[in-house]
Amino acid sequence: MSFKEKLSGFALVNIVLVWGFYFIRLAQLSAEGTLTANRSLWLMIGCIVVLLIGYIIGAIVAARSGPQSDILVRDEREQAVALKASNAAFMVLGAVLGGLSGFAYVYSVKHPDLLGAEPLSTAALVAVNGVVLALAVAEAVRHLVSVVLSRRGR
Amino acid sequence: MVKAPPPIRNRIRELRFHAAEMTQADLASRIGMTRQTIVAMEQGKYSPSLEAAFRIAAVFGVDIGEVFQWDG
Repeated sequence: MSFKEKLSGFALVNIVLVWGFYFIRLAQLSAEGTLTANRSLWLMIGCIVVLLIGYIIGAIVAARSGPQSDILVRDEREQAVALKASNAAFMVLGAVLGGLSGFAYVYSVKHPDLLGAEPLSTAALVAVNGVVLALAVAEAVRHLVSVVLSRRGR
Repeated sequence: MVKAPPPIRNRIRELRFHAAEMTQADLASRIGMTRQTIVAMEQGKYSPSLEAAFRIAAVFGVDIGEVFQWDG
């Protein structure tokens, strides 16, 4: 595996584990009725910190486990793979955000009481986490497509 | 849906053998690519750009047509 392929593999595992934990924990807190904006925020900050540490460790491991020359090389096949992966991620991002927009609209029509509560309304909480979900899924798809295409040759 | 491999054959593996058994990593470093891309080319999974094809031919000191052949 090349450096970039390893990096994408590590990033994929990192995203799935960290954001998987985040959304499962969010669902648990919501089911228990103990989800607050403050708890959600700190949980998100903690996950972002863990994600960044995971990226750094992944990059170090990937760099040390192969030839150093692979890191700086601008390989045309890897660039083509990255472009295709980004295109797929962009489509997923658009689809997820579009789907969430539709869901939010229907949900707000059915539950108008959710709008306007202070200090941070449930609707805002759902919207923020919806965007985070969309970004996490899009990034996971980008790395997944990158790994799959690299394995396939392109 | 798996994309069909490009209809281009190449003799990179054979030419490497005749070039004092040049390694894939050595060829990759000479043309500014990764070893994995050389592997993909030799397996017929990837066709390089025209520029990369010329570079490969130049490394072996042969004409580009002696490295790559259209198989369509």
